[in-house]
Amino acid sequence: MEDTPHPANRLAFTPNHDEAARQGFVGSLKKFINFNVEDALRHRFEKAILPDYVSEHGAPPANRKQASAIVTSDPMFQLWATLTYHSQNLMWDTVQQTTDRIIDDRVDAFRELRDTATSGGSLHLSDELVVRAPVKTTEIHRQPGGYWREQRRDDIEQGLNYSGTVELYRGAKGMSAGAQNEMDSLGRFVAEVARRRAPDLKPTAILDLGCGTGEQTHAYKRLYPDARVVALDCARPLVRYGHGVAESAGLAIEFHEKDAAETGFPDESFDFITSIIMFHETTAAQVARIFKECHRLLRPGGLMLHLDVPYHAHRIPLIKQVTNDWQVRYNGEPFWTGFVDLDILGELQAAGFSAETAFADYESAGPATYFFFGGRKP
Amino acid sequence: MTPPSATAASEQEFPAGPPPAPRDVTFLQDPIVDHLLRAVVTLTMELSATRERLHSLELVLGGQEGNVSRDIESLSFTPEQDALRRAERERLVEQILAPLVNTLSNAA
Repeated sequence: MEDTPHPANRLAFTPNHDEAARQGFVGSLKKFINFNVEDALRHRFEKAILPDYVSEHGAPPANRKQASAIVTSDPMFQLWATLTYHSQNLMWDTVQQTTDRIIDDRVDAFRELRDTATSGGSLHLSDELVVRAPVKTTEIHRQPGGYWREQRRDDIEQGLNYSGTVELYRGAKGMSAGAQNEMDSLGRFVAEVARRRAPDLKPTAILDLGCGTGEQTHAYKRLYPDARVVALDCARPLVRYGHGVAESAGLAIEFHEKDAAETGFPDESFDFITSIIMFHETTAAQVARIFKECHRLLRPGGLMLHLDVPYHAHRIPLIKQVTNDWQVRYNGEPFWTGFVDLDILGELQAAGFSAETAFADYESAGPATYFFFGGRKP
Repeated sequence: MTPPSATAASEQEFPAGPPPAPRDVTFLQDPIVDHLLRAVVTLTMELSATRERLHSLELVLGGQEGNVSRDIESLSFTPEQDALRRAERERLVEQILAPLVNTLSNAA
């Protein structure tokens, strides 16, 4: 089978005909589960399970833990759970088929891009970095090998696998940022929100934390071509992959293998610090440490702006809180509910951001809504 | 020339990643029904992929001369092609039935 990655992305994830058919099926399956089955489950919860509980106990369940206890024995919930679980297995299985076929070529391409670095970017790896939980201890999203397994020299497999699922996953969740979903569309959305929140700011040094495979970082370099753009992640295969993709796209971005809470950059190095869906893959302790590090790194007048999941209890039905809790236990999302339980404004102020500049609210892009939080340094 | 991945992995120590998450947790009352449902979904995926390939084949051959049905019947495979098809069949059978066998084995 001929494999011809696009010249603008020599590391592209390129399923062949049958692989694309399987991955397309999994996307359709996930969409059916996320919308049709979840709708049916919500209807059953509100019309049958909840009224039965209220008539027996005189009041509805007080929280998601109580609700979980009455829902998990229901056949509709069990159907949702087994289909969600199996669709995740199928997703990784079908993506792995493509990766197994193209990985050696992509590793060769990565080496060539790294060794020439004609776009002006750079790659900085650290043997001293200690990967922290939950990334250290959990296969996030149940991705086999997690983010940091390596199986060959200069391995980028985990980045390639992750890249192969992003659009499938996002579309299946109804989280695409617009119909014309470019690779860096979420980054562009974050930049747009940043412009609205800090119209006076013209970033000259940008830091993207937890960059993963780095595609969203491209937006910042494209929108601010004269700015220094730095991306970091604690997973070496992802950082390598991100560097290769950026070089292939002709974008001069610095990629670092670092902990977002201990970057080692000098004080006041950046005037825009951001992240996309990173915090819900950390811990409560790390959130506090990362905020403090961001405050240290931010220049006067700079903006910190992060995007993450919007699943706060006051915004979503109780049954959605139950299914989210299930994701924590069974689907590699260990801090999903823990994150939304945090007092983010309190954490921001504890890190040094004033009550006047700290913010935590919601912004929508197309059908998807995201949680934005951050602050400015006077 | 890049060495085969398996060779490289066997010769060096690489970061192992986090411990593997379970892949066969069940949620229905009867785990056998759970696996049967998943087997049906997997089979549906393979059927969907096969139908798409057949459709693509029809599109490719639609404008060409010749008798596709006859040519398919007279097609012969190399030993390598035959082995590849056999391996694919065996993979599919195992994917469908192994969880059932494993569940019953573990319950015994």
